[in-house]
Amino acid sequence: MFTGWLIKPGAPQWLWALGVLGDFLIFGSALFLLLQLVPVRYRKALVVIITFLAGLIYSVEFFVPADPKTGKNFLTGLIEQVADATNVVYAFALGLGIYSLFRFHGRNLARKRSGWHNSSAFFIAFFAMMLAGFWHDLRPSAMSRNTYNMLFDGIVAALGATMFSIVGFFIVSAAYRAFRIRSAEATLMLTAAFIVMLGQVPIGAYITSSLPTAGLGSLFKLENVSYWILNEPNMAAWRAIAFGIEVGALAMALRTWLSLERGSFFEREL
Amino acid sequence: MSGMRASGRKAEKVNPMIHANWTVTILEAVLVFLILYKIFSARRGKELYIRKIPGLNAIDEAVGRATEMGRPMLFSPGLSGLGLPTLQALAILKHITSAAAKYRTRIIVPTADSVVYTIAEEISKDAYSAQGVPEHFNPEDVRFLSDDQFAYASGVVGILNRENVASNFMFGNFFAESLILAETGHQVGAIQVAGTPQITQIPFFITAADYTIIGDEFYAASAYLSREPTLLGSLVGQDYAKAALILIMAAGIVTATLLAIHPAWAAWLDWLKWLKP
Amino acid sequence: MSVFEKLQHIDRRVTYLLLVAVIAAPLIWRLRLPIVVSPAVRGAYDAVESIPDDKIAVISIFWASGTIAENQPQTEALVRHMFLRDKKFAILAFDPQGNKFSYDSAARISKEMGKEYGKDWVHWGYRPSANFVPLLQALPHDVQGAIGKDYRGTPVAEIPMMQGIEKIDDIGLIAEVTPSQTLEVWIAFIYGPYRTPLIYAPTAVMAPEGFNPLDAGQIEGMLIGLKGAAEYEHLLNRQDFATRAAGALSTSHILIIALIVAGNIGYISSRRRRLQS
Repeated sequence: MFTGWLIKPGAPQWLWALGVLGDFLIFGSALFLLLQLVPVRYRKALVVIITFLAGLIYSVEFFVPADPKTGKNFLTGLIEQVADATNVVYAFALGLGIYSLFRFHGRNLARKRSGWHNSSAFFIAFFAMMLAGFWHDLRPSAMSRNTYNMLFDGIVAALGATMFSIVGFFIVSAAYRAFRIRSAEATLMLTAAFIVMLGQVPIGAYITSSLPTAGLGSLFKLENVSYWILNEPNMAAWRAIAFGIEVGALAMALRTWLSLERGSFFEREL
Repeated sequence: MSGMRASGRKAEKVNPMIHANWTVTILEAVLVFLILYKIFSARRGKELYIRKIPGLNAIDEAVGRATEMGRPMLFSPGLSGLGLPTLQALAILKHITSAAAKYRTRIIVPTADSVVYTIAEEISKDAYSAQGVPEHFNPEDVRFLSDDQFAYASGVVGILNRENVASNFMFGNFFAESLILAETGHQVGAIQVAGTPQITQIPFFITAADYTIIGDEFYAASAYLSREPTLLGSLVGQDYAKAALILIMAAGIVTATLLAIHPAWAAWLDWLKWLKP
Repeated sequence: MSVFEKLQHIDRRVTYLLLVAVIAAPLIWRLRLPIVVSPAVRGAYDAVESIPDDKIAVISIFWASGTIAENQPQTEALVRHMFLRDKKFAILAFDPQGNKFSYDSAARISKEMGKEYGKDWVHWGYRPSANFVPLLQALPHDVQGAIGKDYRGTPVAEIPMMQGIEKIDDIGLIAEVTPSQTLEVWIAFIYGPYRTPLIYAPTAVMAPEGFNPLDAGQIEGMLIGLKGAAEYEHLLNRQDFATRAAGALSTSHILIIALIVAGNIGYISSRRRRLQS
């Protein structure tokens, strides 16, 4: 906020970064001090009030009719600022994740616990990627680009693809282990699974390619049966589960907003 | 079966997904009223019946198994940040951590979000303090791994294997990594209880996990485990809300069918035009 | 234990090796199977064909290296089709890896087909997924203002094909290529109020999410995973990676079915033996 008042547009980026950090320190400290001044017995009530007001802004903005010309009402502009404030609060926690990683792996290395070599790999990877990124951003050159690409495309992207590929293998072992015809329902599910699986690949179409493409016979083509299973019973079940989940989410959102939620950290002393 | 062409209708300025129209407002009011009514009647002491949910009953069994075997447990709160599914997952974490603290069983909580990490750490610390054994809480057992999906998955897989976990709990938002976690848990011989509101991942959990919580059973978990009146009332309110939705849909189906047979009857429904989204 | 009973205890390393073999073999020795085009893919194809000449298409990229095998062929098939029919398009990426992959793919195909960047296609660059909803809210009113600069850092207002592209009415089609649950956001913020035609290209596991909107007419068509890309290539009279990989897809599915059948033969044998004894 002060950053916007004090620093003129066109100022160098480092000045803006410094201004934002200053805002962060000033407001963060002020907020912390204010909270410390509130008596303990009123802190919970304060959290309840702030939670309610924060949710109320969104609820009122949603339900108050919008101007058909602009699609906005008197609160729409405020929502964007509230969302930005939420992102700022969220950003406070970003460094904590990195702190957690450094603490855990640092202790592993310092105490040479079993698996310490994995922790050293973490530090090497962390600093290599960070330095390569900064190098490419601040002093771009062919070498910096190649280094960055080697690390990002060659290692990070390749590892991500590798991990996702493991899913293929696990599907085989999980399906082989789990699909047993223990009951009538299991047999029905297995039959449907076979039809849908074959209908999703070209060989399924090939198996029933001798059937006509139109008329009664076409109904028994594997790809058509598969499509019917996905579009009719599957979709009905999907919609039913989705309705249940969304109503459950509505109830939970209501409880959280009105501070009716119980258990875990909702009942902590502050 | 292919999608219909765009209607060519003039674009509306007000999107009912962004600003409610009368249909949405009335529907929300009905659902909210039903949920709140049951919450407050439960708080006044009304007895409520909840059917058995095997997956949630299995949580205590899984904790007991880990205690007997002397091996740790693992709880994964999913990949998302602090939203409704993660809040629910953290409520379940509190229940499990309380049991873990009571039986002095180790529980490892790898997280994929910094904010969730801080809250999970607080929950675990509080659970151990509540059981009178704060010294048994190991802060390194609650860790932030990575916010990258597969980096998180590979980290959890590593923990499952190295720590030889006896019980694996997966609650929250999971995506493609769900089968990686569940199948690895099976391979190390862990008993697994999983629940997610992500419908696409439910088949993977059903196949690989021992117990799976489907659909809104996930949001019923905190009520089921704690038996707290407010939460139980909310659960019953959800069922009433679903019943209301079913009635509305049934009315819609009947109306649409009748109008398809007798289109002239549509004139009788002109007074409902103001509800049209 | 009889041979049949042993069928339910095949070592998973053997199953993994078999999987590697059945996937590699069709890729090495080309397995050509007839491709039948589904109505969903036909719908997507027709939607691209129907893009008005004075409008552009937008290809939204949410995928990364994990799902490159499914989403990249889909992206390339769409890009080829648009180049073939001289439909101008823009690519917008919400994943840093997908940003680079999609640019490289489009640049390669553009060079192959003699198309020019800035005149026939443009890449709007990467936007963090946290900006997804704000961007979708701003885009309909001011495309150039919402996008700002392209992949190369050039202001989009200075790019020839972006002249006159100002509002959502200037966009004739949006293709969402994604492994995530992002379609509902496009439907909520773009299709809902503006009725801009949408097509959906998910990974196979996310495809069930698309059947509801397809049936409701909210999307024009859908490319389901790698098979959808193969069908699209068939419509373009091409046999690129997706078509070649469709053979491997078929053989791997046959393997899974064969293993399940083998497992059930073993299960039935052992159950019979237990009943007899």
